[in-house]
Amino acid sequence: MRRLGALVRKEFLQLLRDRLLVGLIFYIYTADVLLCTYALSFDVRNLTLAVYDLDRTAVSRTLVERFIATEYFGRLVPVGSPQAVDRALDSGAADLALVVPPDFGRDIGAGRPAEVQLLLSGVNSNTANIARGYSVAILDGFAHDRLRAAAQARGIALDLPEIRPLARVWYNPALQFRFFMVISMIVVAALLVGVISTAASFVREKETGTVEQLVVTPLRRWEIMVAKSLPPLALGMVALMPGLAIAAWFGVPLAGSLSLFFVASAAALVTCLGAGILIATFAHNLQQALLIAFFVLFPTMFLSGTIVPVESMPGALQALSAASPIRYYLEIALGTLLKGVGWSVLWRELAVLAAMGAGLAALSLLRLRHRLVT
Amino acid sequence: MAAAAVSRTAAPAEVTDAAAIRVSGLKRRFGRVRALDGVDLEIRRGELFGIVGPDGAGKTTLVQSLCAILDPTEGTVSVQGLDSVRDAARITASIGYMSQAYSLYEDLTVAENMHHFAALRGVRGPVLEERMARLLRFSGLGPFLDRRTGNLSGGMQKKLALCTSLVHEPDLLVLDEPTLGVDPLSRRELWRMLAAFRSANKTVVVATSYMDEAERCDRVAFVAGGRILACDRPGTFGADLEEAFKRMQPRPASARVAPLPQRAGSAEPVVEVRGLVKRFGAFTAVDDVSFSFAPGEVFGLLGPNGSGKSTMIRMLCGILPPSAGEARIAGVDVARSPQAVRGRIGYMSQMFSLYVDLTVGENIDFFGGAYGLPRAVLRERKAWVLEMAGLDGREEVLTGKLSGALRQRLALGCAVLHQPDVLFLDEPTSGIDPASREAFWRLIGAIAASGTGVVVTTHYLREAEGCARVAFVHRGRLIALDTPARLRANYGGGSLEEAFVRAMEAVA
Amino acid sequence: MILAALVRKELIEIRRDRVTLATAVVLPLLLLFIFGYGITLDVKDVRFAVLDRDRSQASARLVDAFTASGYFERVRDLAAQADVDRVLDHGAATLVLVVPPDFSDRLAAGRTADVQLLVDGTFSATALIVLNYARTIVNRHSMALAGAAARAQGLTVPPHVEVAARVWYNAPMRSVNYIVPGLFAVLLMAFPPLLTALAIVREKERGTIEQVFVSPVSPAVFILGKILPYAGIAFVEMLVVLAVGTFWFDIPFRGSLPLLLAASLVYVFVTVGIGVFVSTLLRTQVAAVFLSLVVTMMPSFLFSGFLFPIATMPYVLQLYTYAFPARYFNDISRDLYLKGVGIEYLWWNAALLAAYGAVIVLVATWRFRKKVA
Repeated sequence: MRRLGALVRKEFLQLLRDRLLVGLIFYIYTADVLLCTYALSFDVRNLTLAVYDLDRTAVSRTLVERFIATEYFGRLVPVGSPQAVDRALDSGAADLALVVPPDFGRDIGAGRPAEVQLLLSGVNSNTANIARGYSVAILDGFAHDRLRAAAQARGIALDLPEIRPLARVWYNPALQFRFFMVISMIVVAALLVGVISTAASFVREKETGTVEQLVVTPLRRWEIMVAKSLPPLALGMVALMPGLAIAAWFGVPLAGSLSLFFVASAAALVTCLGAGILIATFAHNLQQALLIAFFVLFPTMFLSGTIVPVESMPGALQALSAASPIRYYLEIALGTLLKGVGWSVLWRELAVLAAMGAGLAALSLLRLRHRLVT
Repeated sequence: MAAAAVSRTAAPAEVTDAAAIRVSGLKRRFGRVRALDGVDLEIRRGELFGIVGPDGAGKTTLVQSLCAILDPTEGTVSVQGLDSVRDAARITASIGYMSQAYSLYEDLTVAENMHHFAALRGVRGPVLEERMARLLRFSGLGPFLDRRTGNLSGGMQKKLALCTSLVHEPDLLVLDEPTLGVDPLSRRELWRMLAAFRSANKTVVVATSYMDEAERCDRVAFVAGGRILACDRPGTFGADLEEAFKRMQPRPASARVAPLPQRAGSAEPVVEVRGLVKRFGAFTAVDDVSFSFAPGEVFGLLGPNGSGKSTMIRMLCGILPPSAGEARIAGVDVARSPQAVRGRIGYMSQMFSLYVDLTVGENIDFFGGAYGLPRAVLRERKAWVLEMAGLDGREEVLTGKLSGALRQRLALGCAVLHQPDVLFLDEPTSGIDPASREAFWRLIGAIAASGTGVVVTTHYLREAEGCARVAFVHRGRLIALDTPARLRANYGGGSLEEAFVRAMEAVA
Repeated sequence: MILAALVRKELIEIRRDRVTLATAVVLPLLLLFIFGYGITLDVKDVRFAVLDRDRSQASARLVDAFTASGYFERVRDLAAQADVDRVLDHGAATLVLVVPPDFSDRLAAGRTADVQLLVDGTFSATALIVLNYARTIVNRHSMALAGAAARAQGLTVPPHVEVAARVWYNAPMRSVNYIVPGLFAVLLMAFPPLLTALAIVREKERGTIEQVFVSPVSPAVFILGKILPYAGIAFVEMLVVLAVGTFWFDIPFRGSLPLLLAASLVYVFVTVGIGVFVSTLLRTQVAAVFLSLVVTMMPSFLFSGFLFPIATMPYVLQLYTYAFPARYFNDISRDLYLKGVGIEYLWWNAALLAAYGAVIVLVATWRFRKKVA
């Protein structure tokens, strides 16, 4: 106990004196979270719509106005020729174009089917998809109103059946991407901090040669590992607080079981610390360790659903992501912070995360037995 | 002034100045630290000029100023008539320089390094062929052309670095501690190479901590505290240069050795090694080594770079498992119960072995805790270490800010905090000035006198005279093991260094 | 001559250092495949659950409309309101359709019936798409019912508006067509600057740089000696991504190949130049890795418009994106790849890129001194 205490104290002192690393840890948990949450989203708003109206009637103007009335379309660019439509899309000046044919108003008035053309720039397929959804909904609404008006005009009873979809979005009623982004960034922070800080602390001892001094003391390998893991774990847990404060500030409800979130955060950090130690046993110097860490960090980050949902990935990658501890941590974080659920719903994810943490820790201890010095 | 006038007008070839280097009023500060504090110096063409002085005296700063890669804060440096600030590019283009830091690309082979530096200097074709052949012959690197430089021994790396600095046959060659950490044999070869180069009437400036090297110089400058305290021919300092400089130097703080508690005496050998072997793949680093020694004995392991000394020590400390044979410390088998051995040994590795980002006190507390010393005992031992290392009242200083000599003493203190049965010291005095080395050896003596067995390796054979017994190591084997006096007698009656060189040459 | 020697030495070192080599060659390919397959917002096979309290033919037809659309996969039939909470909390379904008990009665009476669409909004981007799909299906179904009713009541041809939607540049709306052309910008900014910075700072750390100082090598030649090999590697990296994108991921290339190669040559010099510039600020390799992470890797990924559109960022942060050249090249490569437009649309971004590169290399050369302090 005395030995372990001395070692833990030393590790804390060293970590706290390493301004670069402590700075990086807090940067990742605060500025990075803030910046990314603010800036990054898949929201589709303020689209620019080019309108090529060959009809120029009251009817066509009503249709165009329906587009402008929504929050999705911010700007309307009237164009006068098919070439201008091309140019607007080619140059990226417009995201989509609406072409209203010459006889549109007359056809509608006469109760004949009419057709409009919608040209979307598919460069960003996600934006195109959503824009198409918006447009179709607007045109459907227009058509529905016209149907009613026509029925009314001909004196037909107004008892047309209608199904009204009442949409309710759970957990995130305003569909703000920020809610997801801020939680995802906190989860990614645990990954970065966990892997980098222990790898750095182990490899530095190798580089400066103090590791030999450590090995000739009666300290046991598990004591060294525990002592080296505690300070980054503690710092990571402390750094969660500003992260959570930022999340609350963005309006994330934090309504679920926070105790589960903290336990899961500790488990996730331990898992990543274990991975960091494992990496350190393969590297001879810090630069090597960090480059090797990239090989682990990037795929793990992108495959765990922190950028796009796992459900959108092909089956093989979904299966692969099941091996990523970060995926489970993300599910727990989203569940507890955003959905407002707790232990009864997420205990399985926690169990998997804890098992992975234990496995990685055991594996790195095993490698440390033989590979601490060389 | 004349030099400055020349530099404005003429090419270096037309310079008629007899001085290769003129330094006047040179000062250099790093933040608040005054590394050089008013240096005036003139080095003549064709001279072999030595720079000696204690740790942190400003030798490297002076050398870098001469090479025009460090600008003076005040004063001027003129090299072959060129000003070191204005004409830096022309100076650096012509001179040769071997820095103290490792200066080769370790991923490149020997030949690739040679060709690279030759190309940088525009040396090619038959001239390059001829020079390379000569340099390789002199350095003995010929058989290793295709070896990765990182895999060469320390001595060979230094020889290769010298070759790369000589490939353009510079008129001025500046060397910063070229023989640091190099074994006596390689050291001789390095100087033989230098001698051959000099015969062409070139100027050589060399900073060194070996006094026998200083004695070979035409003139020597003794630097301390950023100033030149003396500058003259070596002969004028008296018979023994080392003693002369020790007197000139302010004595290292508290060279006093506090008395150590006496250990229970025992006549049993504290270290017993039988048939120890270590193989790395096909390479046998340690080959059937056996020896033993008693408590209180100082045992010296001497051998060329890469002869297996460090590997032996690392096996004895339980860091490396042996391939065959056994080693016992105080009767305990190291390979079988390394944990039991660890509390009984102290170790100072070749690399600096303290945490530079911890303070002096924190380092002591950590190592005390790591060895499980009870708090009361640690308090007492800490006071002893602080006094012994001359660090009383400097407990709060970051270890990284200490001078090399103080760090080594602190490291020694931390290695004996738990009063080990055996203390292993791997090149503990490398790169330290003579006076500090002497103080360090007095500490070793005191530790041994208290009943601790000490194993030490060193390339300063003069200090190995202080060992009770010395083993010569060659290619992983012990080729001789005896008292220094008898070794001297057995190998021709000269100094221990001469005996060592003869022994090595006899088996080579 | 000297330059050739420097370049040759650098190439030998790169070849022998396996970690560097892997970072230069394997990591970009690994990321290319992960991004190509994994980063997609395509919505298909959405898991949806039904709480049908009506259990009529009419409600069954509505549910059929969902499954027939091809976007939805019916995973669960729920019995009670409490089940709705459970499936959403567990993430077992993304969408729950609740049909009220009087659904068929109200429709038969020609009145309005409300159905509930409950969507898991955790990942808002896909939730929005799911919601749009679901709304469209319900609306279409409703229109069909209304049309049929209108016809039954004597309205011969009910008016309706057909939408002929056509997606340009990326007709199948594959995410990968969007991702891979953007990856050039990201990958070339992620690794070449880091490796270049490491190569220079490593010389500082090991002391080999002092030998360079004491030699006839001028700062410009030294820097060029670092830029050329790493730019070469980066350019090869670029060609590999181009080949894999075009042939493996089958992304149509519509623009001018020489134009793309010319632009990427400029871009490669910019990225490597940034590495050189970063190295003049630093002394240790660790600091180089951290700084590269913060100034090149993360921004090129997050703030280049590669994944997250710049147009939706707050205005100040939109300005911030101009600091990272990945954004310029991202525009160029996507426009060339997918739109096939010519230089008349691209010259502005290309000019900015060239200016950026020239400035960064000049500043780096100016900052590089042959002095130890």
